[in-house]
Amino acid sequence: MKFLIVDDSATMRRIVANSLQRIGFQEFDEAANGAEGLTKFDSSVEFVITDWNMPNMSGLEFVKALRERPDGKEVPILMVTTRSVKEDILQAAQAGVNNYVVKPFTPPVLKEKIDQVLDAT
Amino acid sequence: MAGHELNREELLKDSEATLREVAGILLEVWDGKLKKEGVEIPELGNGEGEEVDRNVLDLVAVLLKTYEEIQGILRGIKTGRGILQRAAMERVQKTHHKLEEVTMTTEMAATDMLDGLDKALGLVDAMEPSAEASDDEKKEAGDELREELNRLIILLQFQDITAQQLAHAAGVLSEVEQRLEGLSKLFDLHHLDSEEELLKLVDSAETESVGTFDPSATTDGAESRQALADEVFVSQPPKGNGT
Repeated sequence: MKFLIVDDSATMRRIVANSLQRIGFQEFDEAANGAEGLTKFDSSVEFVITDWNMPNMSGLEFVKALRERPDGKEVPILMVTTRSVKEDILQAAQAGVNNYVVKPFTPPVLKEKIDQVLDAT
Repeated sequence: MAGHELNREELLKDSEATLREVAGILLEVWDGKLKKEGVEIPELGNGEGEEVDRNVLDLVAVLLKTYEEIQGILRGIKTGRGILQRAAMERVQKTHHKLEEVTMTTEMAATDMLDGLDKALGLVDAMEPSAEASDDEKKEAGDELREELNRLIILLQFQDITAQQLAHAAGVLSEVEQRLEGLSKLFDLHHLDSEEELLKLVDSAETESVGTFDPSATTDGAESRQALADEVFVSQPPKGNGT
């Protein structure tokens, strides 16, 4: 399964990639913001993990834009962010995020949320 | 501290009152009231009296203009003090707390990482070919070492969080800078007419680039915050791909 990891922090992209490898996923691409994420997204991407606060295009805008695209309507999206105010989480859900992980996360939590999303699709 | 503030306030009021008094007296001189009241003004010869009157008139005009300008500056100081207090007290204090949090977070992370590295070094020793341990024990130490190293990688998330906290602090400092810049313009005599506009400028200073970082980013309470997210996603099924 190919993942697209969208986060402006290179450290976070590596940490997420490392966690995915530990869970058993080996294939992923990376983007430093929402705009780059939109460029890098194609039909080969089967799962998107995105941060919220990013320059150029935020994660929320990225999710909304992706859901507008015919090839992005169905792709599972997991948001991994420090934002944890109820209104923000609601906003993410309404934008089309499938599940939500609060930073700092642990690999078991990341795995649990990915499994929940995959089970539901 | 409060006594100093009171003294400054009294000084400003006194200065304003004194200037008003001086301006009033000069206006009276100009009107010739003192002359009428019998105050002797020395004769200066043909036409010289009129010249003195003109000079007094010019002096009064200059003093009145100066008085108006000083009044404007005093107004600016009074208004500026409030703005400075707002900017300094509320925003800078928050920045101070953020920076303290960064210090605490980095210190905790560094300690945790040193503990992890100590543990990892012990596990490496246990895996040495010369170590008195069975193959199973060595394999167990290898697994434990792998776990510990992965835990250390996960621990590095603090970098992302503290980077956001620092970005927030930098944004607040930039906002305070904007306010101070606006405030300095209040003292510019050429801008006295547009004081309201300048106050708007000072007040409208905002923290830059809020979208690129989370001002509330923290390493604290991750479990309870995750529980809230789970609660929301259970009660609010996401729209989108129909999952």
